Amino acid sequence: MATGWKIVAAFIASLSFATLYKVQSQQIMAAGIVGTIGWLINYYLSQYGNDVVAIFAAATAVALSSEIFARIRLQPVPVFLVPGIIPLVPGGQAYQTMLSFLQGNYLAGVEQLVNTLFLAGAIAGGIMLVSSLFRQRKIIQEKET
Amino acid sequence: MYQNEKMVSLILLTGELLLTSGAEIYRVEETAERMGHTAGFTDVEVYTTPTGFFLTLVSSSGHVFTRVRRVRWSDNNLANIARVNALARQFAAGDIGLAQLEAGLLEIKEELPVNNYFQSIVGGIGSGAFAIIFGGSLVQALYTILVGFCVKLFLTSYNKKGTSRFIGSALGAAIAAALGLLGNTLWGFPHDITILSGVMILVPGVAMTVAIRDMISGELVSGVARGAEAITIAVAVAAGVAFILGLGGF
Repeated sequence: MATGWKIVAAFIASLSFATLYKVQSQQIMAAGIVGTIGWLINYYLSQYGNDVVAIFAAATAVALSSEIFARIRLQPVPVFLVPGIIPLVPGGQAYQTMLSFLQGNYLAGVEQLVNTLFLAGAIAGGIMLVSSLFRQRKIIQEKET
Repeated sequence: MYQNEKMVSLILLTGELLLTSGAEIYRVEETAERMGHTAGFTDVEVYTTPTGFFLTLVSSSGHVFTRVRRVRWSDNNLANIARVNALARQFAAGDIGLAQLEAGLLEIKEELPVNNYFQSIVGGIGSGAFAIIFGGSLVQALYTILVGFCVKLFLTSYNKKGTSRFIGSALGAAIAAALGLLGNTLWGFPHDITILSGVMILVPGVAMTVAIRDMISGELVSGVARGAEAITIAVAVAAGVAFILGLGGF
């Protein structure tokens, strides 16, 4: 399937997850855009380099754009962050891990498990980095006022 | 006095609505504190966990109000978080009064039941989109839409208040796996892609993301609890798929 189709699919996936998590209809498009940005960054960076670095960069971009959209639209950050992060979830790797263990390939399973945990950790790290920066800024602003 | 008691109940209701919609802990606590101070309480203490919260307010005349609210069941509803958030902000800014706040909160609480079929169709479309992302063909994506629809329809009818989320996720994953194998047998669609896309709608996205945000704001208890919830569901999904694949001889 061509890349163009995949981009459209990533957008649709984010849109439908935003709907499943009952995001208000005015914000769904923005959530879809956030998800697509993250997916695109992960897709292109992972072709040229390390998977973990790629997903970290993507998660950072998703968190950053969620914070920006939240401020423009005056909405809580999770409205954009939660649907936006879904296309990055390392479901494929988790599935492979499960399959390896099921087939008795414990060595391969452990290797894939570590890989999955690294990817999940990179997503968490990306969100943490951006969220804590913005939270720090908010606390400082509140102290000044 | 009556005014104060009313206010305590409203703060309690606000916290409950936020928690049952899956909001972060600091949002619940900050909102309660802001509302309490706006209403003229001199001291506001809130302690929140994902399964309930304690609230103590001291009025200017020295009366102490303490209430506990247990939250047994929560759903992912980002719209409710946004709406409660907006209401609380308006109240804190003095734009709306007590009566309007109460009316607004009750309106959110009396939310119309969501249409299960609509949610299921949306879930199906989400699964179909993932099938394309994972490299499936357009025809397979159409089949995956059906798979996602079945999984989500099962989940929405199963996930009534009080039922185990673990079992629900495991059974949902088993359905996806069974349909994935069926599609492989009948039309030769790679079952890996179908199963993977089908179980994507079971991913505990809100618990996962909110757990991280809780951790950052120092809410370690809640962060660990929600992280554990996310991991439990992930294990349930893996168990459901593994069971069916094991039966199928993979």
